[in-house]
Amino acid sequence: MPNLSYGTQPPQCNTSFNCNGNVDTFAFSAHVNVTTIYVIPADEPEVTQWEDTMNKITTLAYAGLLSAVAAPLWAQDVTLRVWDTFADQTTGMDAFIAAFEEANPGIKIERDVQSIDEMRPVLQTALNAGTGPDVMYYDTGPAFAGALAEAGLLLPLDDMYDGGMLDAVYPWTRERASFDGTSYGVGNEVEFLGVYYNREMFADLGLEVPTTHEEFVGVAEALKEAGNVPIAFGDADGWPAFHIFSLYANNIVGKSDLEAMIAGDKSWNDPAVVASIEPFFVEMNNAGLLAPSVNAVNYDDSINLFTAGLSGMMVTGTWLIQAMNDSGLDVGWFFLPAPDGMTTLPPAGLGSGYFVSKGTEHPEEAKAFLEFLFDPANASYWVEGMSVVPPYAVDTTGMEIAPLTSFAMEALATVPMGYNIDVLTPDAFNTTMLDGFQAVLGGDRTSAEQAAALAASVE
Amino acid sequence: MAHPSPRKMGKRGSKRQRAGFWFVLPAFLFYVAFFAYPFLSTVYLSMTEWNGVGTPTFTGLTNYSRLVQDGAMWSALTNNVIWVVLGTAAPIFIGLIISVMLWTGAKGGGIFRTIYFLPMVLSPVVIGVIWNWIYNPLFGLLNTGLRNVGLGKWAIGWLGETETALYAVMLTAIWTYLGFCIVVLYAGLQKVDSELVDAARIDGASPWQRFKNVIVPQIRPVLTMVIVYTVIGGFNVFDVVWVMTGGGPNNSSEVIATYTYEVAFRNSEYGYGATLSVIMSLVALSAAYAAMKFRKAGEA
Repeated sequence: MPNLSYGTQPPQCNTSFNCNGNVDTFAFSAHVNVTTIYVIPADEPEVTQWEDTMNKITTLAYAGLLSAVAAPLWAQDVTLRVWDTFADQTTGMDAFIAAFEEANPGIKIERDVQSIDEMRPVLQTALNAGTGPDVMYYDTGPAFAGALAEAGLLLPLDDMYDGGMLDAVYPWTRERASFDGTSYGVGNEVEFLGVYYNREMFADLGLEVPTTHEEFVGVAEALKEAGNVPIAFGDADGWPAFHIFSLYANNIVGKSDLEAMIAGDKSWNDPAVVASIEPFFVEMNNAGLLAPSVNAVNYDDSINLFTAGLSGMMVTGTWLIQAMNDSGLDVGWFFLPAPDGMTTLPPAGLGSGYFVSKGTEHPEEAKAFLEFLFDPANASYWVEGMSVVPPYAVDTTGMEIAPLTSFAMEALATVPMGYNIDVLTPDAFNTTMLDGFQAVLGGDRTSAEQAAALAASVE
Repeated sequence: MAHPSPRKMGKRGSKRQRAGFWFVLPAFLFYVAFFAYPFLSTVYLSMTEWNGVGTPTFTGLTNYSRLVQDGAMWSALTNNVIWVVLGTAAPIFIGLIISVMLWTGAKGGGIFRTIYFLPMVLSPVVIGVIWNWIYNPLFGLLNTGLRNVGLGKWAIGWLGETETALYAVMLTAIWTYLGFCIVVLYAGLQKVDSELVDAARIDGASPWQRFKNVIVPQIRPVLTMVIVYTVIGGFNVFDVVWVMTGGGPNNSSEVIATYTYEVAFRNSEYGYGATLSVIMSLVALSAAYAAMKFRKAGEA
């Protein structure tokens, strides 16, 4: 019997021709395209025809057996089901995924894009039923991913962080995607809040970027006098008020007290909280410095007001950078200034984060996908392709990015940031913010009553 | 001719009953799977505390006790009652007048019926979006029109004011539902005996007396059907409110269905959300039952 050795090197010969007159070499194409198994005889003792025939049969049998075993192991691609919310940046995400698939042959991504409002009601049920995604892009807050983690539906990712797969990721973003000491996700879309302004309008009216709240009000009044809507702010959706409150609370309550309030160690029914509500929701609203009929104007209309050049300023977050870049306006940015004598502390937070289902059959492939997404070498997909700020320092050398995007990334690395409140507070608190600030804007509730209601919602 | 014995009839009847059972079984299973089981599950969930993940915790009647003290729920229920009263009365009243006018031979009746019915063909979401544009305080047709005719003072944020939001949404729903009322009532009017109407006219009955005492009694079954349908719809209304105001501002246009959705899916209180659903079903069924009883009492 010849000694047989097996390998995966491409055969030099096959059964269709004889490489070497007195040596029979066989190659068997497995019915899969992954590998070709071939057999190389070693020493060549004299063999009878019968033995030769038996050798061939035996070899064929071995090869067939190996093919059968190899087929399921190597032939089938692993398909990861991924749910995300990048509807506005879908081309950029598709390109990112294509790059991953090219770098990881054998892993396919089946992407399902949804709005967060669509995903929220079905994700929990889908994961519970075992029909959910392998990887999902979801809110990192305690009421969202935190609830899934508590129910045991998410895969712990500590090994990724500790094993060096996510070394570049900012530690604070890891904290935001950790619950009860375990890391379950990778936070993404580092965002902060501030004010977009129409540079051309400011220049025409001789206005300077304000450095205090008092100057901010003065600028708004000047814009109003010139016949513009000073601040494109509408609260028909309810949630835009969350961000206004975050901006003023960081500036007026201060970081440490705000941290204590979010943690439940200090009451929201506090004079500083009242003082955070009053300037914008009451004083500036009553002065007509916001959009008219503020509770009837939704977020999209606010954007339209600003991008149509009808309004001088818009207070919102960096997630609109792409829209502002595309608007054709000369748009600038400043941080909402604190009242005179106080420190400006812009709120920052995470848009969402990637999580892996505990029930996934492909945890290693899912982790490989996350590692690829958060590899700084692939930052251009986020920054250039999607105008998204990833959760790590980005070297923008050689990248073609808009000035606003560049400013946002620089600010994140240099400016101290505060808290974006609504992503850290429970649902009951957020519902009280949603309804309550509409009531304050409508004149149906005072700032003090709203502060008391916020406190009551978490007691 | 020999008659089959009672015993044989019994056997045959039993066979027919068995056959009937097999015919009914698929529908019964469908009913159990898609109505009875979900309803009973909801009743069970209403007695639990559950955040949508993990295992629900049985809490007995705690949610029902909370419901009694829930001011937001009572506010939403009050809005539902307003909706049911105005949202039922207005389209039926207006629809009845228009359908009688069409029935009496108005020219172009077919075209009018089609035009009035068109809103019913549209999705409530589409209708909500269109009316949102109409009401838009900045660019909307309504306020632009008001400003153009010198009524700029009335150009307010109709969906953003607590005093007007509910009624602005309701007007949209009435506009939508009017066509349905007209078509159904017009169909009912086809069965009215015109000789009775003529007889009443000869007897000196005024148009109002003919309408009230001759026409309406003859279309009462149809009228009842429309009322029951509208009342149940009024208690279950969700889509148009959700699209146009989301229950806001400050819950001023909140109805039970939108409140239930918020509680369950925004606050992740699925147990309490189920409690609200059970109550909503019971209220709607009770109202519909009362309307039917009222109709029967009127017939007696």
